[in-house]
Amino acid sequence: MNLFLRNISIGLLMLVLLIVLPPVPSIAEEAGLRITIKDHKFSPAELIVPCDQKIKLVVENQDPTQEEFESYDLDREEVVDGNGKITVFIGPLKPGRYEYFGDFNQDTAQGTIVAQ
Amino acid sequence: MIKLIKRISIAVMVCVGFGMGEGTMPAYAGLKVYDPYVVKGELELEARGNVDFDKDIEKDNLQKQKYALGYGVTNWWFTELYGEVEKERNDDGEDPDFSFTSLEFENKFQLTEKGKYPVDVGFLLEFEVSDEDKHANNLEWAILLDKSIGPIENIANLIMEHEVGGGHKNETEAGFAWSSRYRLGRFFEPGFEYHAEFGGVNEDKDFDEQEHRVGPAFYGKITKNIKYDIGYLFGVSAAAPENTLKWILEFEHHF
Repeated sequence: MNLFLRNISIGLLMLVLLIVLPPVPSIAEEAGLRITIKDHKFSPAELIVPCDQKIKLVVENQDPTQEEFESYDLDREEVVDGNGKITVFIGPLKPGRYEYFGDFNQDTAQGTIVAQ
Repeated sequence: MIKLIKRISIAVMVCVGFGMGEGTMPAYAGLKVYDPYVVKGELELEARGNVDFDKDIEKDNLQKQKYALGYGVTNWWFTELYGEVEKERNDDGEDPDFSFTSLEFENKFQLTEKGKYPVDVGFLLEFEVSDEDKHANNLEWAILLDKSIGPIENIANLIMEHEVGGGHKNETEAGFAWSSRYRLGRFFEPGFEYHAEFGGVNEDKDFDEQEHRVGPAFYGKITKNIKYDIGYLFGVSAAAPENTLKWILEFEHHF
């Protein structure tokens, strides 16, 4: 049991170190693609991104009220403060269309990410 | 990286602060597999429970229920207060009604941004104050790991528990929980769970003396704001109950 736990602990420590070390960024991640929220709408409403690589999205909220960037397709749910911005990491994505929306203004805040 | 160090430091400070507590209760895996994520401003009402079924009457119809109120204070810290009721046999082997057993103060820290690293990491810290004289208080901490591979989300919790306060055992116990689920749709995600309680780290328990349970689980949303998590676990070691039904309902609303 002791040996088992010791091995688990060492393995876990190595895993955590691996996780916290910064990964080598892809080109799309370095650049950071931008989505803007204004008047409770996303802009661009359709964003084309490269498939099969990690993407760094910067979501900037230019409205004074909070919004929530949410997507089941992308498995993301994150609040953006009014006049604030967040970074959302997505992918690597297979080619296809991925819907997202603003949870607090679903009637107007709709967007799509197209991976190709 | 600085943000990560700051979050870990706060988690450790909270841990040390609550380690000073008095009183106490034995460790018990909550049969919930925690993802490492926090949503800022989210208010959560949670109800969960489990019931054991076993041919051995001593282990049959044992039940535990927890009711909680939680809030996402920041985008990396979620705090929650639980009240727990339990139905367990008394010393005479009778099958009593539910009784209030403990209060739990739980804090979840999201340590990495979702998707930034190969594995997403969080930390859970819980302090349980027992209402029963026969039990000590309990400090539990866990490392929460999440890794999605295509449509399959995998979550692992590495759990440690230690009794504190009066009448405590000077023993740290270890546990493990795993969930894999297929993200079929927001209303239905089939998967399975595995829960293990290894016992004390200084004990040398055989597999059958440890508690190991595994079985199917289903996750999803009933409505936009209500999430469910239900599973039926089979005991695969002698010490575990033969069967366990577990359920969790969460109502979430953003403020």
